[in-house]
Amino acid sequence: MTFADIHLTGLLPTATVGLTGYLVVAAAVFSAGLVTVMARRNAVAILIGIELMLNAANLNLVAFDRFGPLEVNGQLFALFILAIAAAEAAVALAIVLNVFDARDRIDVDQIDALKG
Amino acid sequence: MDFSSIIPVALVTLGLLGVIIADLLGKGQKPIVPQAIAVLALLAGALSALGLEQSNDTVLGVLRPDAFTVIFTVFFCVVGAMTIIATTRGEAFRSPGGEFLSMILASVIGMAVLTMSVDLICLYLAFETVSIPSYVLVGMRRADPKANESSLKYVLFGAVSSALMLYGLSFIVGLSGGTSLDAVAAAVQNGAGSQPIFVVACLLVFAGFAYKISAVPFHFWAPDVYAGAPASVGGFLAVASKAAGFAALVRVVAAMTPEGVGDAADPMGQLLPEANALIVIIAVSAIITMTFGNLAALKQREIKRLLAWSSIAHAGYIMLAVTVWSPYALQALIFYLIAYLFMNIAAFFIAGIAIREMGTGELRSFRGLMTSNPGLAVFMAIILFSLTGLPPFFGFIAKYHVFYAVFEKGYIWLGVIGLVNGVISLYYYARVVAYMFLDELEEGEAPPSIRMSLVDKVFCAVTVIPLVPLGLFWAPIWEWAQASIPAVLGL
Repeated sequence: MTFADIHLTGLLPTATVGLTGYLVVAAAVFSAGLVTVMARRNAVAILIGIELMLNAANLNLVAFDRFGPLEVNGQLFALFILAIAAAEAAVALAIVLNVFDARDRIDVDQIDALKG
Repeated sequence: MDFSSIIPVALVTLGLLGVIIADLLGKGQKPIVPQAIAVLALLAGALSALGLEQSNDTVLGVLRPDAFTVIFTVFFCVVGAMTIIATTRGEAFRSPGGEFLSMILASVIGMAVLTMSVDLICLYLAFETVSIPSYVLVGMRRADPKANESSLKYVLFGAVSSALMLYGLSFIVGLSGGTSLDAVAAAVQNGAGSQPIFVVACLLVFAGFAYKISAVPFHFWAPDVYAGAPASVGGFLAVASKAAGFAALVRVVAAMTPEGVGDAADPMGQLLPEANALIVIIAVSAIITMTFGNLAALKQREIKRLLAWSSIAHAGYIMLAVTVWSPYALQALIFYLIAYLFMNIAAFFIAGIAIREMGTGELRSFRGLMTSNPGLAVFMAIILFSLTGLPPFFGFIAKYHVFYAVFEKGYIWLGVIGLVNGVISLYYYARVVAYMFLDELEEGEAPPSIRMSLVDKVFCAVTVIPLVPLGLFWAPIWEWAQASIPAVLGL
């Protein structure tokens, strides 16, 4: 395919990224989220890490939907996850705000009045 | 299409709306009306579930109102109603308002749907419908720094473990080519279970369930959350939330072991032959959970923390029943959860009134309770011996059935570890009894005075007294549990 062909049809070169590509990106996003959760001590940063992990699952589902026999269920699952993640983040941030009001800090390793 | 099977859930949902409206209309008054609506809606849900026409057909392909669903729906509604009543008598806020009640109802709705869902999308939605209101319930006392801290821990642990579970679920959905549990079962039968990625996905999915049932290594939140939350909420999480986790776990394991789990051919040889990845993970976690839970309970000095570690240990025993996965073991699992309901609701209720009256939950403050309040001391002793699993109480029969199932299947090692754990647990339960009955008070020290109203006494009687007759005449409950097994195992 020459440059002229693309120009004529208005199409980019045919996509060659397969299922594996998407899964690898999702795994990278998931790992980044997991590392954030493990390494960061700030509660808001941990919540950001959790969002990354959820979006890795979303990416997986949408990719399986595109390349597999899921019909539309994978995309539906991803949509539900988006809604739930928003609800969960709302509650989590409310709790974080509440803790911050009481203590003026949200570093989880300094919140240790209760010992497991 | 027949929607009659979702009537119990619909009734509780109507109750939830009623609570919100009544709360808005009655601002500034004592929230008696919302409380009554909430309790009545839960009781109506339980009664309508009992009268439900059971079927193995699904509603919209995602909800299955079989006999298993009925038992657990009744279970959650009863626990929800008891939690509301216990909260009005407990140590934290004596008059729970619309926010508290609607969160309890929302959580119960999530549990009922979780038990009946046979589709992974619905299962995940219900899972979060249970979790998100419980984060709020734990942090409801906003001015209390302990409650703040425990709700922060609860929400962070919960969100991380549900994210892990979701990533695992995404692989299981991808490998199965469908979101229903039937599709998962079909994929496992076609050999998907032997793929490495499937094993990793099982590990991740187990993370989500382990958090719900407080199994090691996702148990860290439990002691802090139970200690920071009101005792009644601790009881709700320990009983209802855990039972919901087990019910969903049973559904998922049933899908992943469509051909059942093999017998231990050589009892002394391999620990778990022919088992699939999820079962092996659960078995290992069960052993660690009960051992760790019991050992950590030994050094606890506070009643709510003691009950938290004891509930972790009990999760280990119940996981043994999942590991064995015979019809008998599943029946024992349901039976155990029912026994666990009576014991733990009562234990957390008494912890609540003790903290309300004494201002502390230190175990030492229970010394001399026998002289000042013999009735309560005897009730507490019955609960603790029943939790230990001593005859003739209900807890003994429940443990007997679980261990019988384990030995019957030939898992001698698992059974022996479980029995050793039972002996360890005797020490810390009996120590509380010794404080109440045997310990001499020092010179000039007053025994604890616990004043109980009529409601307190009736609540204690209703939850504790059944532990004795049910320990002897347990056959009806055993048969009730049996009726639900064919539906789960697809027999």
